[in-house]
Amino acid sequence: MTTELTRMTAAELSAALASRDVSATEVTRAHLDRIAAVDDRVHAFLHVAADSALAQAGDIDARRQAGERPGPLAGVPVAVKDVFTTVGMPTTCGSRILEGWHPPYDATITRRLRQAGAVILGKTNMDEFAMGSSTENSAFGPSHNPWDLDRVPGGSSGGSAAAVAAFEAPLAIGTDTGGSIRQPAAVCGIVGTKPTYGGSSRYGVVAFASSLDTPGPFGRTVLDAALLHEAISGHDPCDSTSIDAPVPPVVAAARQADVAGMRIGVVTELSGEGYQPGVLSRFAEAVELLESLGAKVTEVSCPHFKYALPAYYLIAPSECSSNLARFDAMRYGLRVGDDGTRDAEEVMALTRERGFGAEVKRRIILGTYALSSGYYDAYYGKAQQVRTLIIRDFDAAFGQVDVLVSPTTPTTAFPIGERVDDPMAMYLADLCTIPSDLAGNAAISVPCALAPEDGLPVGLHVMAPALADDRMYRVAAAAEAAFTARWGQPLIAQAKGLGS
Amino acid sequence: MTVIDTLVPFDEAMLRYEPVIGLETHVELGTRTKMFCGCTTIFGAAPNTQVCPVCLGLPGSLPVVNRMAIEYTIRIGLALNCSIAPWCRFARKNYFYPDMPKNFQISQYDEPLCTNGWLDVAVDDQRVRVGIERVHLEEDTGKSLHVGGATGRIHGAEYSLVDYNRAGIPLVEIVTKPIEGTGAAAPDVARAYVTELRDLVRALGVSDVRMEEGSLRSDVNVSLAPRGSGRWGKRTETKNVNSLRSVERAVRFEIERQAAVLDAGGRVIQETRHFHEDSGTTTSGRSKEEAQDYRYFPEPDLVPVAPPAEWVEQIRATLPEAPAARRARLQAEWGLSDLDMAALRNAGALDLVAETVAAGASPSDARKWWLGELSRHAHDRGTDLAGLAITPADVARVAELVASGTLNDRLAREVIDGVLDGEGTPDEVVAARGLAVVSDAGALAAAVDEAIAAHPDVAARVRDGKVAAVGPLVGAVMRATGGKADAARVRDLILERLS
Amino acid sequence: MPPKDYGNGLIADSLPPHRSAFPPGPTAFPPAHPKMACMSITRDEVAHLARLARIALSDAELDHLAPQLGQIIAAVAQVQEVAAEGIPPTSHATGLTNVYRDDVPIPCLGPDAALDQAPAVEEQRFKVPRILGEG
Repeated sequence: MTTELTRMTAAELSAALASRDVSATEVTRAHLDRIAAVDDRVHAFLHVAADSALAQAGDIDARRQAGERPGPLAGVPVAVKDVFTTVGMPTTCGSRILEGWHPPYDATITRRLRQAGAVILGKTNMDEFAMGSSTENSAFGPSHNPWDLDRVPGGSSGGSAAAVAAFEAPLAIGTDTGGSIRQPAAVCGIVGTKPTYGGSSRYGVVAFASSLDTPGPFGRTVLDAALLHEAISGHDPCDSTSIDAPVPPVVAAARQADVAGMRIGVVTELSGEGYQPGVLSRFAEAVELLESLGAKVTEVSCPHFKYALPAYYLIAPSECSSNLARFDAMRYGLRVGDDGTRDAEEVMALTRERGFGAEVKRRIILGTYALSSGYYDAYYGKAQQVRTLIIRDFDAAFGQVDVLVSPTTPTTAFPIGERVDDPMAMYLADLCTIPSDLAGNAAISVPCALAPEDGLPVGLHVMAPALADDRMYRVAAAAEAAFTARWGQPLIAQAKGLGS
Repeated sequence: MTVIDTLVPFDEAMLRYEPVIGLETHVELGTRTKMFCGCTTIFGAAPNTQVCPVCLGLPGSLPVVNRMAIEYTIRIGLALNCSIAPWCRFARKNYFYPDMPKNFQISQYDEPLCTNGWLDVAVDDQRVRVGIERVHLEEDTGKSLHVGGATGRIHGAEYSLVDYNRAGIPLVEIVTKPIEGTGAAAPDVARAYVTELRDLVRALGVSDVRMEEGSLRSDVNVSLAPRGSGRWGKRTETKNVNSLRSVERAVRFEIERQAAVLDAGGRVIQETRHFHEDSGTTTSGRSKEEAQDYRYFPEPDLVPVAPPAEWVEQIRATLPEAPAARRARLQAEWGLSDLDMAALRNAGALDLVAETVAAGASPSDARKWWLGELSRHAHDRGTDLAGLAITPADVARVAELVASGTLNDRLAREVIDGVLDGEGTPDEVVAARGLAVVSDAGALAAAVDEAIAAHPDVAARVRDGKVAAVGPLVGAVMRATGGKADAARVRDLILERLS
Repeated sequence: MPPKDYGNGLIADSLPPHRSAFPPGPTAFPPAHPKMACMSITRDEVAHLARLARIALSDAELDHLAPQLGQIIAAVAQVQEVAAEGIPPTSHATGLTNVYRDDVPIPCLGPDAALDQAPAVEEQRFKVPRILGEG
């Protein structure tokens, strides 16, 4: 029974819990057991909150016993990226500078999960302050891809992706700034969504790049991701950038799963040099499959997409150089060098030197440079103009097609250590995902196949206009159904990394 | 490191140089809650009791704009005759300082909410129109206590203790355009501007603008150029100017100091200086090799502010009469000269007189009492007029009692004594002390006869036509009645008797 | 407030390119000419930036970072190839404006919760090392 529980999707667990075939406590125990069995190898979790998870589960069971009918996620376990504030659990953001920090308030999304009755199993590993594509920038060691433990699970939400792919949790929450949900989802063979920017609250999400950060769901199926997406989304008065509009009907769309008559655009620029051949071939097959399902496929050019990466690596570091200034040893977090002889500035500088990792320091310096007097117009200012042009490319494209598609990321999971000393190579992982972050649109990655070269998962990337999240869920669900029919089972069932 | 500056005496400096001044004034708004969060803003609360994740800048926190702060700022802008931006944004001003929890301040950079206004200021008989460059909104910082040094100041302190209650309180920054052509009146113009601005903001009801509590702070910019050169000199910015008098003194000192520098052939360093209350001097701020680079960029956590025109007009309709306009109106109504009006203002008596007139007194009676007897009382008691335990309504009643003949001036003064001593209202004091004028005709007649009888020689002179000699007889009657007669009436009675 | 024209006619900023309202103070760099965008960055420049950012980089890090950052800057400088005459910059993708809260108090954290994670506390305040002067 235990193995089965961890193999069930969130939708299946939800049904079983609602019909009281199984208790929330049993479900939680099963997942905690799974974590205990495999996490020493996967290292998805930085903190396992066993006691509070069981307490929450017990509470849900009591409520059901008393005749209450809590919502669909009540009793379903979820793993939370360590960038969300959680009362009663540490929040480190994968950084030494916040090691041991216990925030006094919950993120809005944490609160919504609690209100939905979801059982928070713990906090997952991530690249430090969400900067990276592999979790190798975590101060606490990388996570490992359940498909091949010597490979990265992607990043920055690699821990959340690995947890779901390793069956340690059916659902997880991450954040996507340049691709940090979709790329890990793709290389771990699961589903990951970046909702419309402003569709899910950033209150309580430790900021990396404020105009780009978007919390979103991971699941092993499109429907699971949709269920979580609906539970966490919606207007939040505590976040001024939060959109006051109804959450797009993503669950209904996931169930609809039909692309007949839909116009699908393949982005010309998101292909070519630097893309693994197997990734490109599997992507092409996926597109053919969609066509066979009745979609109309065309090629669409988005000429400014080739400037998306440089624009992103100006905007994001600029915003982060400012967002991370607060980590100065004065009010919380690490304090280094305060021996009574040093002044505040020295203590700040020593603390930040010791507390931040190399990638974070790199981006802070880069951002400081780009915002400097005399450089603003040429760098940050210019990047914001490029952003406008990318938005216009999307607008023009969505005038011709309903959704855009591309591979999610140019390669499959790369080996741990391969790119860690080559920041530019690392940045290339975000080539396909970054444009939708800059535009604030919605995008999803759904597993489409294994690459022939290495047998590792390849993700199909579907992009929709802002607030049309349901549209992409529809396409992703249709693709998933077709792929699953082709493989005979969910792709994730083929993951061999953990043995079982 | 103390540097004794050489100074050129002010009047001499003004012979050779022309000053250009500018003022940057910060007003702490009196909203119930902070600029970006719902923490209360009560002055004097225990440390760190009015803080939350947002104003502490905790990781993950986000700001949300207080609509009332926008409204108050628009009020100030309109009262200063500014244009209100149809669209503007907040910006981050990035620098590190422990009293700033995020190590950036949310402020406005090149898109202020209000621009291009003016405020008229009167100094003696000079009217100066001070241009207002901009009015923008930002958040205040926390407060540090420096522990271990000699004077509680930063230098020599061992460590600091930070209280964030004040962090996040809305702050409006009002920046003047450079003020030229004031000549030797520059210090007075600076002071008059801050005074007028304070009164205006107070009248708007958006802040209690108390310099001593820090809800009004002013930085003073001064530059000098040789007379007639047509150039502008390098300006210094002086901070820590904590009273109206300090504004004047700081401008004066900087003029004297800069004149000395220029006289010696040196160059004035463009820098921030610190005003010292005790000595009336300014000293250089910490010298930096590199100037501050604030790396301003639009605040990504906040969306643009685009106040609809209808809202701005609604606010405009609720503006009260500007203090200057009110003063002009009252001056005309009361028929006073500029000098008389200035005297009222300087004595802090303007509002009191206005209220006394509103309570029924004539303007001249109201002025007489407040500037005369009551000013003397205030001086004796070491308080200001507003601090006296007598209301304008009381004063109006006393004036009425005198006008109707119930009291004479001497009795009225006794009544005022009684009111100030807490004995009650004027009527209550009159009754309790039995202070009414003796007006009983018979008693008066008797007293008159007695006085005439007691001073036959005086009476004789009056009968002979020397009316002016009647004084001692009046005095005698006044003494006989214990001062409770109406002197003028007594005089008339005596003259009648002796005619 | 509903967002304006969201999705298909995103309200990008209608602001002209960034301009300084105030004369800039002296800086350590000469102003950059856009065409001459720094393809390389010196160790001294990195040291200056690290000071601005309050990070006490070691000598080894300074040696290492300068060429690395030079590479990255050269790559991101590609944005300058884009002809963007008259294109307004986008700082907010959503097009939202006028988001406010009412001037109504919300319960504060309380001093215990506020100070609980502080490295040092004295007299209910955050105790910090001595401050040398204006930051």
